[in-house]
Amino acid sequence: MIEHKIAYELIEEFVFGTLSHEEHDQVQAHLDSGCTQCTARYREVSELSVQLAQAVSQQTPASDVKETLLKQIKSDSKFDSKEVSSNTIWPWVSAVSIAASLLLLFWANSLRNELSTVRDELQQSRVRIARLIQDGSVQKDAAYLLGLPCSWLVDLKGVAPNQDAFAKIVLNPKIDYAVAYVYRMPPPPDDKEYQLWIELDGQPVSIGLFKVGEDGQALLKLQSISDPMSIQSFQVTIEPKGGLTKPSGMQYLTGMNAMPPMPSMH
Amino acid sequence: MAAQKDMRLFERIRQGDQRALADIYDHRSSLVYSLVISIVGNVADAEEVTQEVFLRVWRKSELFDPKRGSALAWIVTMTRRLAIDRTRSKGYKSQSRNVELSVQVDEAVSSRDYSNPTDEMLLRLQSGEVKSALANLNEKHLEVINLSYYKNMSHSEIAAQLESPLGTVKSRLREAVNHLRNSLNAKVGTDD
Repeated sequence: MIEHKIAYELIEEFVFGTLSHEEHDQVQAHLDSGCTQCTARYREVSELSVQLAQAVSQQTPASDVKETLLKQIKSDSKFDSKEVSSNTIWPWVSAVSIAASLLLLFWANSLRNELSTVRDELQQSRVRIARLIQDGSVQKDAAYLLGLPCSWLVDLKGVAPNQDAFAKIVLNPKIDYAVAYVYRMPPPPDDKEYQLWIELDGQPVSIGLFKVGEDGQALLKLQSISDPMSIQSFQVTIEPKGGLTKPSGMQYLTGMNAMPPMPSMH
Repeated sequence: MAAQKDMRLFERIRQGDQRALADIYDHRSSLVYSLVISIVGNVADAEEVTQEVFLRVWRKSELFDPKRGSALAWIVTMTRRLAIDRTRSKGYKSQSRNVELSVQVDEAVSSRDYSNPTDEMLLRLQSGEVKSALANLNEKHLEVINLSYYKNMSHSEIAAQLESPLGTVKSRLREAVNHLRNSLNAKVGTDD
């Protein structure tokens, strides 16, 4: 599994289409794992790519391109056609042929539903596997952090009416990332995401968006924590998709960055 | 809105509605074809790749995730990848470029000195807004956008061409993308 930092650096190439097949698949798997930072960057770059594409002088393909395409999809076995071509009703169709057609339609519909279910399950499994691998990688980072001297834990407590929610963040003054364990968070509405903030010099600074699983949990690697000791507090709010530059939504978690006293040199 | 129309068409395509595919083809084929021909440079390859793009829309629409951006962004990303794949395939001949892109000079960039290849790229673009945003980039940012987006070069190819460290190319491209986004007020769900 490709590391987040590497995947993030490859997003522009991924969108612009210049990656090798192998790298493309690795970045795709990373995105499928649900990485919020990379997904947000993908969204930004791909929308810019549309604007750059729209700037190219527009030309229209020859009409036979469409005709060939439509012939191909008509013979495509992936779907049975739902196209109702006209209002024509065949006057000679007998009751037997109608019954046979209905049976065929029923069978085709069942088959399509079955195929659709299998496809969905495969996609879900792919996402689950990618997420497990990603979680495993973050767990390793967390174990490494916890094993270092001078690491400390920050408790984030749930804010009413979500006081059952909580999170723990592992930090170390010499490491430029942190790891957060988030628990018992309600699933956000489709158009919202959770956003994690740190307070620096009294100002909130976003360090990323995240989702929680069906169990309300998330395991997050927080990148670019350059000076953990300068962080005054943490908070999690709910914000519109894509996040905001300042917190505006309801607060779900909050906690002060209470560092333990550093070991004495003597 | 066009983005919402795309979404509705995608929903119908997922249900196997062939008319919806014909509609999205009518709606988006000029953009796809123009982008492909700007990359592959010849009509025969451009037509084949355009067909391949819409076949994939038909066969793989379930892979499109609206949480990751608009349907058009998904199509454009796929289009670039398939077109660049074509230029890297065995049968492709780079000398087959025989299509001239129409030239429409915009006032925003006409005052620049077009003495280098990067500025030649600006001349080929027809959107005044994008040309203006590109023209406002500094030379280094414009150069990496040109090589990456319009010349379809990978980070390592750009690094070799510019004789710059790979890390410098990556960070410069990221900065250029960010400047362009700010300049164009890019927003999620870009519409046309």
